[in-house]
Amino acid sequence: MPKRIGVEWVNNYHGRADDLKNNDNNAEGFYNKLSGVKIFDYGDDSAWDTDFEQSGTGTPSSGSDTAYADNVDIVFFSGHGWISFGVANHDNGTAAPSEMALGNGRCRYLVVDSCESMSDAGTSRWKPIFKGLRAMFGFRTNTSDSGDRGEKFAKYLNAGHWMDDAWKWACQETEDGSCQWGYIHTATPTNSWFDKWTDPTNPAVSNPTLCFHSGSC
Amino acid sequence: MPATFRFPKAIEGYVEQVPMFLTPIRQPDPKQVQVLAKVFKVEGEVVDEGAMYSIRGKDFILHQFHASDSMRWVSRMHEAKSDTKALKITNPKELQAIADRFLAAQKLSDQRASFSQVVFGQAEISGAGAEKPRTMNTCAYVNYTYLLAGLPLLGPGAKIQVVIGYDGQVIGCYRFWREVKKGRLTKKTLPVLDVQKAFQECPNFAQLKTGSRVIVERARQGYLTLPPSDFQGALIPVIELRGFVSTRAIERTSFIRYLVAIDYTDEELKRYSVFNKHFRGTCRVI
Repeated sequence: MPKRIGVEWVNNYHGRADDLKNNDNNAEGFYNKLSGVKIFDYGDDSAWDTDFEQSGTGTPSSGSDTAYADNVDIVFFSGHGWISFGVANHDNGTAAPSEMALGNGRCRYLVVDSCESMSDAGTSRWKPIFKGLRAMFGFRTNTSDSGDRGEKFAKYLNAGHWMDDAWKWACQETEDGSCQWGYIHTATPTNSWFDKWTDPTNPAVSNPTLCFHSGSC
Repeated sequence: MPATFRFPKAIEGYVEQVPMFLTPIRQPDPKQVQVLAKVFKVEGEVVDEGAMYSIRGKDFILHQFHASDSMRWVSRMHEAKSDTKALKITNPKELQAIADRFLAAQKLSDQRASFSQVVFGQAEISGAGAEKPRTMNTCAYVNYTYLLAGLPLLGPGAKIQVVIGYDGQVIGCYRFWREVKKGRLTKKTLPVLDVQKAFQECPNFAQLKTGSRVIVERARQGYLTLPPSDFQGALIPVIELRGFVSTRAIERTSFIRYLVAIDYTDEELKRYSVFNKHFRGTCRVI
């Protein structure tokens, strides 16, 4: 079955934070390059925190991930640290791990291309969202406003490399050595460390133990 | 201006004149990756992957980039992923010595590059349920950075890394670099106050509201280098600014910004690849 792709990105923060310049290129480079069915590409004011949040969790409990983040095989966010959005009129403008649960729908992979998305306690912070999700990719440190990391990541994924290698290499090629990439994969009952985007099926992993890796770009 | 800005006392390495380094276009040649394969003692079919030639084996991969003199080698791929074993060597000096020896043996040493830091690769394994996670160092990344005319080469396109596995063996490396040609041209660096003014006028900060703060924690002069897969006409003199923004809505968002440190003509902007998409977001004073 063809895999589904979704991206959200933010350049315009309306003063909530400084504006960025390259997140449209970054996310859309990924979207346009990766093999699969393109389901959604929402940017700036059309990108909402609720698109990543589980319905019925948090306050307000306005999540709608079943229609967006959890309705695709891989979802890619590009913007400010953690998962911060430019508008806060749908929920509070930040998709917090405590409000997220991915993989109980279709999502298997989450990419958070933003500063310090895995700054510390990687597995503790993100473990609650792994409800079937197989892996997550992000950064342990600050990262630059790259316009082409998404496209590079997609190229390596299409070439059939292990997904963690694809992420590491895309990060190496777009950051200096002071930056640290991070990724979390399921360790048991299924080890997703050897996943490839080109694999035919990637079933959900229930109640996993997780392994968080980080290293220098 | 609604937001307040704070700058460090000085720009590290600030010089009033900078020599320009051109980076001539490179002719990709599959023979180069074959030469590299001999050095790394690997064999296989050379495949053109678009941005690079690669040789891929069961347990290794070798990349030679088309647009720059950059390469990457990863070895023992399955073994490196097979478990989370604790790194046996933890002394940074010892790790650096291993990396130095490796680079010399593989003919990758470069006098323009010097050791910068050891970063430990970490693994954190979550326990079942509420059990505390277990953390360990599993490998070491020994990093080297480049210096030209006394200025650091910034960005992703000029650096060397050696990865040392849990047992002290080298399991990967890359060398990102593009050969440079020093021209006769030198350019005048913008005065510090102009740099600060240009930064404050970056459109990125235009929407910040009263009470917002922009704190530059570090500013340094250097040359910006592009990703190894991209052609670059010249090394771009820049000021790198690192810091954070604090607003009422979001307490802290970090930034790394590059400010073009000299004036260019429009023709130079194109010739030197300043319009490359990697530079979008780079503020500029004309």
